[in-house]
Amino acid sequence: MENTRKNTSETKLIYGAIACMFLFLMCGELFSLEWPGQSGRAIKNFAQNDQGSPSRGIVFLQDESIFPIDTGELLFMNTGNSHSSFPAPLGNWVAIQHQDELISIYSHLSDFGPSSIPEIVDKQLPLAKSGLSGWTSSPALQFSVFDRKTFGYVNPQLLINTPDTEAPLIRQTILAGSDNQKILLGQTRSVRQGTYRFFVDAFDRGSFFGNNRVAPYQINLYINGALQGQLDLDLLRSKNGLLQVSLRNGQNIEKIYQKDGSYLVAEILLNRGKFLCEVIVVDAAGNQKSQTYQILVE
Amino acid sequence: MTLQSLTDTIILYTINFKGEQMAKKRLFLWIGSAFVVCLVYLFVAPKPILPELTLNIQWILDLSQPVPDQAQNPDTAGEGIPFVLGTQFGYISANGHLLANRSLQKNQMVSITPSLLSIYTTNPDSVTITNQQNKKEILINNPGGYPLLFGDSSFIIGKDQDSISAIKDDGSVQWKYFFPSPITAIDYKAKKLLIGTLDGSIYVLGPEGDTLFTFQPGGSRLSVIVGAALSSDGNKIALISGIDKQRFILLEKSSQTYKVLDHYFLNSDFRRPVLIKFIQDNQYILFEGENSFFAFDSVKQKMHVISLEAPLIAIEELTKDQVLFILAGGDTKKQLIVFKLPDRKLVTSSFTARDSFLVPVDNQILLGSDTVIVSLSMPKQD
Repeated sequence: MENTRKNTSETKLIYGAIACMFLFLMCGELFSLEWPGQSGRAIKNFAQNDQGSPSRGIVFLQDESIFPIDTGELLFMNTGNSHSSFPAPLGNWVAIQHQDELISIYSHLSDFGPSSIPEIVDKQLPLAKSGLSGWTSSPALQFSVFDRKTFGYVNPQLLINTPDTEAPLIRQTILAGSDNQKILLGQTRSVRQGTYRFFVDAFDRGSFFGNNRVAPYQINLYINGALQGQLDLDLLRSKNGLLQVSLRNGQNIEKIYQKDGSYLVAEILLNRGKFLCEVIVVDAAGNQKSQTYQILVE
Repeated sequence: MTLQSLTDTIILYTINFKGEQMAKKRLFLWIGSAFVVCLVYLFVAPKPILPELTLNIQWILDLSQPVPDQAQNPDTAGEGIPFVLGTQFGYISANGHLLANRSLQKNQMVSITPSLLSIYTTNPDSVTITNQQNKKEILINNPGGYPLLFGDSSFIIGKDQDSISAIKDDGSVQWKYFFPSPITAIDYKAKKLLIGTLDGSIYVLGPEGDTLFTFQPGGSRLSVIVGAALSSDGNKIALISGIDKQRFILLEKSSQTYKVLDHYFLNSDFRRPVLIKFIQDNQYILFEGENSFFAFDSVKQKMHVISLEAPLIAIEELTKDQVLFILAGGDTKKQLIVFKLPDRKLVTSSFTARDSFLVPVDNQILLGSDTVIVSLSMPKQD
């Protein structure tokens, strides 16, 4: 009797596991997003520091058909024929509403007919071709994702699988005191006590980005093992007219993004003593690189 | 035949006779009523037919003809009427003289108003805005976007189309405002900037870049702003928003904010920019509908629908004549339609043109059509 009960519960467990696996696979199939280009080379990624301004999405250099990342519904489009009342830096562009409140935005497209895009789009059918319209100097696609829930642009690499096995690189970590004099960590071992801003110049690369230098996903700063600063390049959103980066602790881009390409990660008061400073940079695929510096504060 | 059956036959005959009489009476009654209704309709319903209307042609300017030397240079334009026709742009005078005429080179674009002019490339390192009155040039280094000119006010729309910067006379940035998502609609009146965005929000910014008002219309399955207009005094906002169902919303300034004055669900389903405009001292709001255009009378709070086949390109009015000129059409087939508000179509004229524009000047309307500009005016009334 006991054996039969045991067998029944085991069978239930197996069936449950199979059902869960089936559901998981189904969900994976249903909600899998794909990159809009098939052979394009990404030259810029999300939140990349472009002379002090963050990139809103991923820029692909390509001259080919552009597909929606998933099935969805046409939300808005603007073409040369749309009689828009203002010059459009996005050029010819299309916005597709997907499930989960996500909007995918495809810009700099070549000219397309006002009725060439159906109301319901499928990821097998191209929207248009990438082009030279708007703010671009070569045929390109700027691809962004807007999330209605967080009310900002989200990092597409968190939504779409990006093949990347290379760890990011840390070029340099710079300290700047109240006098704005820049101190390169690794070359300078001792500094005077005071409040310092920590700037990190780091980048990611990989075959997906054609070995171009692109932005990492996260920069962490540890002092003596304690997390002192963290910058997540996961979300860009506007608050009261100011552009902010990071979902967790939105920070104004004017403060974080430096013209030289580095990012402000933390502002810390350093008192006298020895400090072990560790910078860990992580990319969207989870690859990471760390760099350790010893600082003597006098 | 028995007596009983004879009696039955007489009774039936009497009933039938009475029935026929009743039916005849009813028939006469119906015919009489219909006649009266027809008479009433003939005298009451029809509107008087206006005398045949022909627009007067004041002058015609052929842009393909050689132009005077000074007209090659837009800087000689002074206070002219700006035009852009395809790759040609410049200034003309109200009496049909070409003040400036130039062609855009490959990858060049132009922003032009009666007082400001800027020619720029698709990816400019710097942008120059020339003031046509004092010939003063405003140089903007690293503009990070395209010049957006309204009257004598200069802005830059950011390269990601989600920011606006106000530009001072020395070319420096007075203020910069970031919006959450790409801009889909812009209007500028009475020193107020109205912005509509992809996420379905609107923003009204003051002269210092201060947020005067923000609003998310909602009420539709998908939020988006496809059309937005400010009244000339900046006190009213008209919007076309949302998908499934699309809505027309009219807001009016009330103390420090704007309140919804009226709204209508529309049968349209536009997923592209839609033309919307205040006219006749802001009494009417005109906008494109599904195979029609709408004229909303904000005083009587009444919506008028006028059938129209092609998409709207431009709406202009001759204030003195109280007539409306509408330019509509597709790639090459265009129509000029003249209206008397609220819903009287006066003239419809078809023509072929790839590029076209409408500009009102005093008592004439200038119609641009590829390489020709025609000045039209209403006939003088006796």
